[in-house]
Amino acid sequence: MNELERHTLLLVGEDPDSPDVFTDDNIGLEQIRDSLSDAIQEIVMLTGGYEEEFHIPLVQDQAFYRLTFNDSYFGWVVDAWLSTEGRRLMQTSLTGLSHRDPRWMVFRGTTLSYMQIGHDVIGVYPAPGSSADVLRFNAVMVPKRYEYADQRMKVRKLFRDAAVNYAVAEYYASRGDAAEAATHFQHYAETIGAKHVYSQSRQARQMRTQDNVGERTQNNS
Amino acid sequence: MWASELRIIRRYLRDPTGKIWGDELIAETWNQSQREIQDALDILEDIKALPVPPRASASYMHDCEFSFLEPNDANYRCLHSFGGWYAFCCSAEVEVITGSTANATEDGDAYTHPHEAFFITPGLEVWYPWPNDMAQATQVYFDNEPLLRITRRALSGRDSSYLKRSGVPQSWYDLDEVENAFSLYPRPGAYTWEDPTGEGMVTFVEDDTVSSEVGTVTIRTGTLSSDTGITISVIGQTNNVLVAYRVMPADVSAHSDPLSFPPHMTKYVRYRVLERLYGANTDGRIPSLSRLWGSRFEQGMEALGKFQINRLQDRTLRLRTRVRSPAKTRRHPRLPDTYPAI
Repeated sequence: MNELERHTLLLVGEDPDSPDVFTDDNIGLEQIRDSLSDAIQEIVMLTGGYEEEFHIPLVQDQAFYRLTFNDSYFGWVVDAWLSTEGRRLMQTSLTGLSHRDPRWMVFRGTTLSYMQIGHDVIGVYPAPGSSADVLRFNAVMVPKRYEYADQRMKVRKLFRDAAVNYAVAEYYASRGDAAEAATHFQHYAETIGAKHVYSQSRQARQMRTQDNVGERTQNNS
Repeated sequence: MWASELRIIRRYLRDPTGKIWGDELIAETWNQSQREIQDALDILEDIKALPVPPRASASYMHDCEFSFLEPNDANYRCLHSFGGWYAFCCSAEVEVITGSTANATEDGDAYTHPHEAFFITPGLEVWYPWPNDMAQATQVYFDNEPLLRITRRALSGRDSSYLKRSGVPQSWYDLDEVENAFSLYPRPGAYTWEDPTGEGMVTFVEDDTVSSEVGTVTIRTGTLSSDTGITISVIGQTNNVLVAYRVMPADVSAHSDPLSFPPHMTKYVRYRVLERLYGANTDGRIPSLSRLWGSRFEQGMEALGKFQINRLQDRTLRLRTRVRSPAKTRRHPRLPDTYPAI
């Protein structure tokens, strides 16, 4: 059991040293680990807090490369670099290339730009004329679900409380306590500073509106 | 995998054995929810290479045969359908059936598997299957050259020999949305027969990875792969049809079905499912929980929107004024002004 799991159990009224429900094994802590992993993934998706560097050897005449990562999912490219030429690559898109030159895929040469397609494909333009170049890029990577307590938690310390609140909120939701769950979701949003994305007033307004609609419906019936 | 997601949904429904919400209801709600998210945000897109000549996993003539085929495979409806129980190869057969004395000129030869069209002069449009998960093609290329979209109506009005004509493909047209297929015009005159393995229909080619929809080459592998950290597969663009498209999330039903959304996005579909199931008219209806998950879903949609914007953050932006564009745009080649008029 890692630090975040212990903190979560304390907040839901469980004794981490002698747990009744969430026993210290993969099965007992499955729900907590699912929630913490979801929280960490969402924090990275919003803040871009975790990056990795990759080197892709380019293949002659091939513009598109499908990438499968062992430990994470492709977020977005932060910086791309062509190693042999010592040059930064510009970000482009299929639509932009087609607009400028419909026959863009015909040309071969030194790669000038890159594009991201979907969640696992990266393309380069122009397609390399030889297999001598290496595309190096730094990308925000969304970590896969962690399995074991001793695995590295890929979230900065500042946001660990947020992840814990997220897990606590989902715990209360799974027990049917909507009000307590909403409170902890709000703590989570405030901690990661995503007030625009997670606006309390907006959430409260929405829930209040729905309550009013429900009351009116009941009164009418 | 759907089984693991279903278990998580049941955990939040507090219905682990399905006493209130059955698997079928949850799966159908999931399918609706993921389509809703994709329609709203257009977050799933892909690019795939399709082989030329095309490959099908099976051919059939009548609708009644279709139910015996794998629905997710590339199934080719061959020959001409006459409606009802008739399918025919050439016009002469129709003349016999209808008792006509006409002696119409045949368009070309008939065939039952799409790759056979490349051995003959076909009297049928050559059928190419789109990827199973395709909602809409955004860009189509053949052997690196861009193809324009055209309609069959415009094509037949312009070229009376469009079925027989072969050459360098210039355009593509949809055959049938239900069949999820298209054709190239003109039929490719130059193409490369890959080295097929096995006998009978060509369904597998060495070094190609064939996806769940048999007959569609998705990735040409064997170029670069590694078990350490990252696996790289090259998507073959040469000699193939390359299509970039918007994805339509695949429905789930069996526990072993894969999920269309990447794992870090499935929770947002789950929120919508929980909102709908808690709000549905069942014994488990709890409006407060439905509102909670509905609220989370809306927030999740905004988070996904922010994620989409984040993916564009490496763009180099240039400011332009209304008065004068700082960059001259060159869109299409033009003939010189001195070129003689036709």
